[in-house]
Amino acid sequence: MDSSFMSDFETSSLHSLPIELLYGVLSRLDPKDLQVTRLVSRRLDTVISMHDKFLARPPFHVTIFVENGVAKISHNKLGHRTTIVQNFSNFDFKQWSRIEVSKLEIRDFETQEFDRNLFETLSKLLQELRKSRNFPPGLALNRLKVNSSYSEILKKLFDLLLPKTQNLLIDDCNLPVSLEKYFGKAENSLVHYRCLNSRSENDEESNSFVLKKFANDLSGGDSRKNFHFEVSGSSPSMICDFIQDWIKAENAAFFNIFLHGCNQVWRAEMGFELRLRGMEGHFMEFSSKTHANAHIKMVFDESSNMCRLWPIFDVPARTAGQLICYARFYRDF
Amino acid sequence: MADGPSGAKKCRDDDVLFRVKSKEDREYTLSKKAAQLSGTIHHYSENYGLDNDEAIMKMEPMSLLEVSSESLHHIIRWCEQHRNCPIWEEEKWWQNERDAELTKWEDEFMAEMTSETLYNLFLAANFLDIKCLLDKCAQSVADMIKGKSVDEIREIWMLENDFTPEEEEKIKNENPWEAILRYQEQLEKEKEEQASQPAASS
Repeated sequence: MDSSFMSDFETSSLHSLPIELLYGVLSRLDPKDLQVTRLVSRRLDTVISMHDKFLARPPFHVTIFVENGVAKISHNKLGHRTTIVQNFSNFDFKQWSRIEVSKLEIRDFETQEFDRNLFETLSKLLQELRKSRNFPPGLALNRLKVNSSYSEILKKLFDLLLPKTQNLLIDDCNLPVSLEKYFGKAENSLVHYRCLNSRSENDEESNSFVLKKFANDLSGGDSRKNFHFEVSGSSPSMICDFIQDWIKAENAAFFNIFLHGCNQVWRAEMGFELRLRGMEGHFMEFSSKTHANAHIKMVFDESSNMCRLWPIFDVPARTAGQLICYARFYRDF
Repeated sequence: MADGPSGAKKCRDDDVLFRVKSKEDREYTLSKKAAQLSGTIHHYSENYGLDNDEAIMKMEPMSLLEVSSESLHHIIRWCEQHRNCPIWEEEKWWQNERDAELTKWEDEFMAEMTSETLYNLFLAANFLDIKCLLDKCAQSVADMIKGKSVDEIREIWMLENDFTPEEEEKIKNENPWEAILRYQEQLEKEKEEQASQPAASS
């Protein structure tokens, strides 16, 4: 150790940089280059290994699921076809400090009563995410149906993950917790939210909180934010609130809203709400007050009971005297 | 007084000049505005009452014992070029809207550096606490590593391989994807062995 210390002062080279400067360099490298750099010299290997949780890591999709009563974990490296499935209890979680869990999916956790195995799987998961500093930007919950004995552990898990989640997909879940408190905060980075056929405490409230959060983002500084919102539980009043916020907002941001379960009754309620607020638009179009050529389009699909809302921007394609020909375009996600 | 080769290139006559001295005891000057890019100089002037032009004009040169003449020369060029940028305290301004001409100048400036001068400049920027230069240096060093092979990196930075072949092999195998794959293969092998054992005994 002493001899290498001496040589640090003699050479003026990469690995004799002070650690904070070296860290500044390493944090700009991608996982592949880091792996190469580790092989350059002992000191570089040591520095990179010591800081691996803070440097770029290769992204993985991780799925935790239950099959025949046994918890499994599967890893899928982005861009690779193979998926490795293992028993959850066998997995060597030391590897997690070297990978980035970019998407975490939890599925098929269905239990009527308290199941110690499942409970321990979730605690272990929580502990390892925290230990490896993995806060996946994508979180998908699929058929996670548990009773209130799981509410504490789920709360802890959501406390850790939801503030940093960008894509949150909840399908066919029964969650004994309330999600609304996570969406009230402005620093929340959510851009894609889906909640279908699921129940949680105050679920309609949390859906409307998410939509409100998106509406708040419109007036915020970050005008480039687009978002996607898809829910099966919505009330006409929350949609009207959103439309009113959007048409007033300075930034006419792109968005996609899909509402499921909009049957005849819902549609009638919507019509009533619109009349009540004096917002009846032409052909279900609501013009922006700040952007002359922008409006929101609302479309019902009767066969699937769906309602879709998205913004349309009319752009003059060419001007011929007094007649203006408009090209109509909108952007899909 | 200003004997830096081109350090005073961008100084105007009416500039108040700040005097600094390199490790080799060579004196350089830079304009008051450019000097404000350095946190170290900023704190020095606060402590020594160099807050007005008169005091600066009368000052004794500030000794920068850690900075060589060569690095100081480059540092002064950098600071004079960035004299109209926000002062040292402001973080990350260089990530926002950038002046294309300044960016071009920075790239050319960095392209002149060899790995050794860049190394010294990096340390000097750290000592003088010039955040925009630190950022640029880190980026340049990273660019010299990106996409290169192990041997190429060693050659650029004049490093010797101090690993034993076993250690090298071990690091190569620490790739997490490989590790997970290998582990899985091992499990399957064990399973197969277990399955084949009763068959062999019967």
